[in-house]
Amino acid sequence: MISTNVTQLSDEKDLRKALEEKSQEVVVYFWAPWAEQCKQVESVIDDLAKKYARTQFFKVEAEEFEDISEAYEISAVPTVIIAKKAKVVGRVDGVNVVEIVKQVAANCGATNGLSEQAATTAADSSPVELKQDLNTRLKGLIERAPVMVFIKGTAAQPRCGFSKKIVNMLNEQNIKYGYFDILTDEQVRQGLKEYSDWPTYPQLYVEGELVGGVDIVAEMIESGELVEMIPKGSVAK
Amino acid sequence: MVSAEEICGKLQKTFDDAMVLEVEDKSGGCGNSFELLIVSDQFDKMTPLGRQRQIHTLLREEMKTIHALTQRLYTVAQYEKKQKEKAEDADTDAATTKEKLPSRSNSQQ
Repeated sequence: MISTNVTQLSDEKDLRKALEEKSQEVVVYFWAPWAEQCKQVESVIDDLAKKYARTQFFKVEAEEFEDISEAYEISAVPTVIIAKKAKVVGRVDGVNVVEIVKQVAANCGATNGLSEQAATTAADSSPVELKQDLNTRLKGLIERAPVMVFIKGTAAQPRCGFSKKIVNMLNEQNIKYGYFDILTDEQVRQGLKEYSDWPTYPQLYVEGELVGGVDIVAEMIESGELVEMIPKGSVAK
Repeated sequence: MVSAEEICGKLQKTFDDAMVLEVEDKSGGCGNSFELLIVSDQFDKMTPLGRQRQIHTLLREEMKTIHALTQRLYTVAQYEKKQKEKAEDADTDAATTKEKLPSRSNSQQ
């Protein structure tokens, strides 16, 4: 077995030990298997673990370790906590990659022989690149399913009347769709508005193209245009 | 805070030809939710997406604080057709009309 500074937590003692014994920072990443958006943070954590080889990283399945999650007031996944001697020194809720990189750099840089400034500058040095990253990510999200809807809340539990309406309309039309809950990710929430030049949510995309919000979708269902647009595989018989 | 009058005034400058231009505050006065009805032949040959984009552009400043803006943007011909259909539907069977239109108050899940 290869020794690594990343531990998928299986015994909570391991984490406790690391927090109590180590005088240096520990990065704890809370995740859930059903939360698609965790995957991206997971890969960021893996990358960071390589860069900050002297820092201990823990991946904690939030629902498996309820006590720990509760102790750190984890109400949603993904959440990343940076703790030093059991004291929280940094916290990032949601898929805010830029902030995770920044906070890890700020808190763990010194331990790893990277000055805080060097580390944060590295993270900050290329806003253009970061923006490109975000755009790539947004494009990926938009194209994640042939029919994609960006809503507030989940498809089963929309948290805004308009999101609920669009979800209901798609369900009524037997359209199969993927969804993204923009409330879980401020970067996507703000970024997508700019990316698609559309200021409000929900937003419906078909094969990577913005169709519109509730009004447009309602009208296109009424006129039959929407059904024509939907790829055949995305309509349940 | 944005008022219905402000929005109306702003849109009137562009849609001075509009047959109908209505802005309704749906927020109960807090100015973050509006409904818009514009009937103008300026929308001719524009896609639904294009029409709303034009409104978004005209209301760029206001959109920053508005939470919801329901938009019904029609050409004169479309609007007249809709009015006619509405009248016919009301004549024949009110219940079916209700089902046809996407209902706002869908039941809780």
